[in-house]
Amino acid sequence: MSGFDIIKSDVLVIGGGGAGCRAAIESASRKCRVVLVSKFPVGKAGATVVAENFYVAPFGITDPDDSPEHYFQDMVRGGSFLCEQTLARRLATEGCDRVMDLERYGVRFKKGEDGKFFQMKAPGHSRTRGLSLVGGGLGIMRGLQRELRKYSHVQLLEDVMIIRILTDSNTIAGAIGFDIRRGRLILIESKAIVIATGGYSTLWLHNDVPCDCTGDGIAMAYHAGVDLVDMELVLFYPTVIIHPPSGRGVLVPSGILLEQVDANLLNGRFEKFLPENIPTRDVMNSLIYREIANGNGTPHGGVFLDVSRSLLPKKELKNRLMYYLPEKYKYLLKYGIDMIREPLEVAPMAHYTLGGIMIDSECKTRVFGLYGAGEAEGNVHGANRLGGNALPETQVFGTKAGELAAQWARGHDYVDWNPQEVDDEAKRMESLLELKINPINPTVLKRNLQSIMWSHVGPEREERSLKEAIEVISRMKEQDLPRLAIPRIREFNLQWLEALEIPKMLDLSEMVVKAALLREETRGHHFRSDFPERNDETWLKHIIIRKERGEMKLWTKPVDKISTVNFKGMSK
Amino acid sequence: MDQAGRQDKHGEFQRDVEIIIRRSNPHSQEIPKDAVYTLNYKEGMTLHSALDYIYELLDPTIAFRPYKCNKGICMSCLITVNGKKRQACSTFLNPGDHLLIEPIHGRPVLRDLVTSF
Repeated sequence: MSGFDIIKSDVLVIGGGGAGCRAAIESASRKCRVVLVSKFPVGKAGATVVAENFYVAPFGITDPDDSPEHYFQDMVRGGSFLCEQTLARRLATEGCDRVMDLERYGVRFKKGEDGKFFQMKAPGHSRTRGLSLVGGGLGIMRGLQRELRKYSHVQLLEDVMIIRILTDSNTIAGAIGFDIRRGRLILIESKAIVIATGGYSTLWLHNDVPCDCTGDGIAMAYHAGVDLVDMELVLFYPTVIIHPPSGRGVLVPSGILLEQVDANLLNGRFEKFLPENIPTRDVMNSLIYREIANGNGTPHGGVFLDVSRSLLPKKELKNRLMYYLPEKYKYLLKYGIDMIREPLEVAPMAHYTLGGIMIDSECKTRVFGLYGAGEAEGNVHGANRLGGNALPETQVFGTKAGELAAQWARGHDYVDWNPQEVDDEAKRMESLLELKINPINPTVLKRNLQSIMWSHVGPEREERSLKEAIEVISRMKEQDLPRLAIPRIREFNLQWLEALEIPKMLDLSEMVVKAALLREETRGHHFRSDFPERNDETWLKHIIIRKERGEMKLWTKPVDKISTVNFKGMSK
Repeated sequence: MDQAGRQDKHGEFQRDVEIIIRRSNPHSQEIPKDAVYTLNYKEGMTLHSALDYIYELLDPTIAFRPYKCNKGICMSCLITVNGKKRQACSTFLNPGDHLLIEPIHGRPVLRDLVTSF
């Protein structure tokens, strides 16, 4: 084994999205040497860039009686009582402070003439508390990037994928990265690590997330000994375009359109099917599925999201679209799609993963010096995330994780890493370049996995299909993985990158399926057609996954009920 | 757009799209060369989806930036198309198109269409 660079840092942040950048800023501001690693260039990587302009913070401007307490209760109810309440409470109480940080970094939110934040309503939130970000998620990224540049002791590694976390006696020693540009390994020695690598929505064939959201960090954390939680819970966004083809895979923010622009969801016969009060996204999904299952779908198998039938004058509609969704509206126009003139055919697609790394209220995990932040962490939202809650999550938990990682790094010394582990990883990486008998292309294997996950473990699940999926996935692990072969090119070889992602995606898929099989009930976004009812007697529980002596172990743990939330909503 | 495509020089209707990618690897001794790919035109096809198609089904050795923000704002897929700076995601293809694709000018090329930012 030879020829790899060693980089030393106090805190290693993995993931160049909103949570990772915020964590890096926080650690750097506490005088730590930070290395920030991103699979693609920052600002052109991760899910924050693609986020809409909707950002929830309970400032109580439009509704003066709003408070973090109300926000917290909405989250607990919206998540079907499965969220970890200490985490939800942190999100509710620190959300406003983090907005003020973002403003300091130059991120702009829409304001009224009085100079106060403009707020809008969203499904599931009992008060009007959604801020409107200028420039959407990219607006946040630009601000975070500007702030990051102020710290000369932050080293940015772009086009690098971390492939393994190194520990000794359950304590962080560092990580091994794969430099995509040169096709070489990099070793990063570090006292603390923040995992902010986002979710794993690309496990499903139909998703609306960028291709780099493969959940690497969650799989690595699992192999490092961290507990994962509620991996079966996946948010399928109800309204992603399936037709016209030029807009396929583009998310249309249903909450804003239905609440603010006088849009309607219609079935294939152009009949309304939503109740008067616009439901949260999990409920909306099940209503859409009922229409499609009853033969009332559109020609391409979805439902219509329709602005064109509004009684409002066309000019007013255009004004509202330009006010509430300027980027999205203009982008679709560029693609020849005018919402005002034609209804869109939409259907649910994988959008956000609710499960992930199990953290305590300070973002700590079971491994000393390892912290989780953003979508990579689990159990903040429970079985459904309310709209506008993802961006605040990146900022609140990114900050906390960065703070705690810096604290740990200042109080501890470096831990030795095991050269054998690095050697193994180098061999595994190089073996992918070798010629194979009956080779399989990594992109093909990825598509096969995504297809099985969509057809068998998608928005609707049942025992038989889940068991079939487990068989297929273990066959892929045993028979297909050893046959992975890639072009023999070192520099920027995308197939190499995919071949390194796939074993992690297979691990995550296995976890999702096993947990989905175990949760014999329907809750939030987890819809078991063979157990269609929510079961609060047995299932107010998390499903925990841990690696023990090389085996995947699953068990349940009751949800901590620490607050006096009005649980009247619990009986359905 | 669903009607037959443009006529070629023999007077026949062309439904295909021809994409020529200027390929190079500054780290190797190989001289830069042009690779030609012919695709069946599909409704709504963009240059980005065409590159995805080439990578997945025709030639897995090409290097390009696969990230897509679905909003046309991240500039990850900025490339040179027939000499002009374009975003691959919002460059629409028409049946019969001939496009020469190069990496964006003025930035260090990593390989093929990929540059550092």
